[in-house]
Amino acid sequence: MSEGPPLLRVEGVRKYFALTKGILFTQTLGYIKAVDDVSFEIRAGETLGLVGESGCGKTTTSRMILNLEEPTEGRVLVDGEPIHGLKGEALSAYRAKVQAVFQDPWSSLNPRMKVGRTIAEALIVNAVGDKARIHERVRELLLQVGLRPEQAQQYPHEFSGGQRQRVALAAALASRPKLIVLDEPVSALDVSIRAQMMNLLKDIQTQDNVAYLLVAHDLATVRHMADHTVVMYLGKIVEQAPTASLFEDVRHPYTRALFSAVLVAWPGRQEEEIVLKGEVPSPLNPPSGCRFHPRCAWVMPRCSQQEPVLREVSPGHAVACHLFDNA
Amino acid sequence: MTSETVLEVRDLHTHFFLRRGVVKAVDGVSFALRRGEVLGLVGESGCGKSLTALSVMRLLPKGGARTIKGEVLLDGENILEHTPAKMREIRGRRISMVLQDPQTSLNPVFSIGDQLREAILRRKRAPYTRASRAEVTREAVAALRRVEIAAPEQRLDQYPHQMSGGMKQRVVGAIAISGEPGVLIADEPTTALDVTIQLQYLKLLKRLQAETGMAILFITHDFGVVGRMCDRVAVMYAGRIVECGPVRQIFEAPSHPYTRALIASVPTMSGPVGRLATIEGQPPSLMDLPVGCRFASRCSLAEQRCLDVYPDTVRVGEEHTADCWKVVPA
Repeated sequence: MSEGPPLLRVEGVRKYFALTKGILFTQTLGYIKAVDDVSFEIRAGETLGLVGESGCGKTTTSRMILNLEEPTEGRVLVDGEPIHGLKGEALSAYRAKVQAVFQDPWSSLNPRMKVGRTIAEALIVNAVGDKARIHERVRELLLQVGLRPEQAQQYPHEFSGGQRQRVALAAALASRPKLIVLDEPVSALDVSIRAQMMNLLKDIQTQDNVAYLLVAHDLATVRHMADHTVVMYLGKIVEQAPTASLFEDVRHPYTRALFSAVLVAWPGRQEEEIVLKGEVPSPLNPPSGCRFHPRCAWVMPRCSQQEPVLREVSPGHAVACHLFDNA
Repeated sequence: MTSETVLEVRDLHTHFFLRRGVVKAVDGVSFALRRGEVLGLVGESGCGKSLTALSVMRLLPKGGARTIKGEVLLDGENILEHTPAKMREIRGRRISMVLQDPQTSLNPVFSIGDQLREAILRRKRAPYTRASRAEVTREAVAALRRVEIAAPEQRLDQYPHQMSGGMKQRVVGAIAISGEPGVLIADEPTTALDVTIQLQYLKLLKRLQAETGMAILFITHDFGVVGRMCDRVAVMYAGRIVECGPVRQIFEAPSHPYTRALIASVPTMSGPVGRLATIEGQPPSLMDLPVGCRFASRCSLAEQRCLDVYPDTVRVGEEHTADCWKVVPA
């Protein structure tokens, strides 16, 4: 990995959503702690995988990085500069630097706009140049994502799901971003198309040195794409490590349960199986101490009283669990 | 057909008749489902797996879909010939279905209890009287307990939006099996669920199957789920089953080039990380299917014969068949 300051730095961010009652005389009933003290870094040209189940806060985290959501506490820095509170030109410059591709390309493309126009719009906003220059760049982008230049004249409905996701990617690449937030980019795609898209994302990363924040629930996808992986549970990071090290040696009981729940395709190859009891508790009233303790198979008295801190157990591999307090 | 077979589909053709042409979504599907087994029906979007299920249930979508050929034998009788009234008798009692999204299967304005009671009453053909109410409620509670829902008495008065996705899917399951059907069709039942909840649900389904001996036709696109759930697998491509066999053989020695390519393109949890294998091109248009093998245009082994003639079904092993000219018969 390259040294130097990280491209993206997330510093102790929290996001609490107030749960209110009434319209005129609003009363706050409590706070949903969607993200609670999360920190990580991404370096240029690197991929960070953010995994967890629904409600773990991975999407809220990515929305804060995209400046679509203001953190309740903490900072997000891109190239060393805090992104929240940016205005005018500085905000536009940031928007050009950080782009996003979402799960469902149907909802991110305008159905009444030719895809060439959708891509061109990103170029016009960023004042790339005159008409001919924009036309040329749209052509380039379509070729880069594996589409034909003449397909610029088609509407989104004329494309298959995989092709639409390529168009969304071309639009994201238009401003030559340094970071792309990929929110479940392949989970809506078929198996064979998913592999094509994953290969394409890797190729583009090699060519353009763009960094990815890959938000995904599929561990196998993360294994193939990410350099580092962060596992979240109920708004907290429970484990983070270089991907290779994480997949070799899973430490946190929740991560272990998550890994064992991934159905290994080959029948009879399952090693250990941990079926979690119950469901994820409400983030409105998370359990005391370790948030995972009511479902944990290794629960100790300490777990319900004291919140474990994220500590390094081997180089780069950090776990938030009392089992590793003396490690 | 053996005595064990509960559901047999023979040469099923379901097409959409549209103004701009005929979409041959299901075009010659045959398979047999035996008592107590799980048969996986795998394929990518648009291969016709869900429409096959809907044809069997005779719940085709409105807008030009018609089953024009074939037989669906449930315990030996062709249900395609039944009247709509007779079909209503069969659904829920002898054959049931669970869909992907529990949110759309449940009615949002009725409580869970109401919806369960309705299913139970319909099965009993009993009027809803004060006397039957207590009995039916007791059965509804038992049905919820069976699908491992904690505190079922309290759940009865709740509405779907008060439950999590995994819980709703359990309720749908409880309704589907309340009539003790011999065949359950599960169409991507866990696709909308988180992985840890998916594992809970699959284990539950296995347990219920062991208890009741029902046969399950499990439709999915996820090979992980197939490996976990199924005894046999049928792989569909462009409206036809191209390969069918025991799950281990399909994984360890797939015969059809499509199955092989599909399995190779799945990202794995172990082994080397590198470029994934892909299948180039697109499936053929269902409005304009090729005369020969439907996979030929994307197949690396294709030769002239593959383009000209649809391959015979070749036996490649015990209970293992593939529609391909290039495989070696056993």
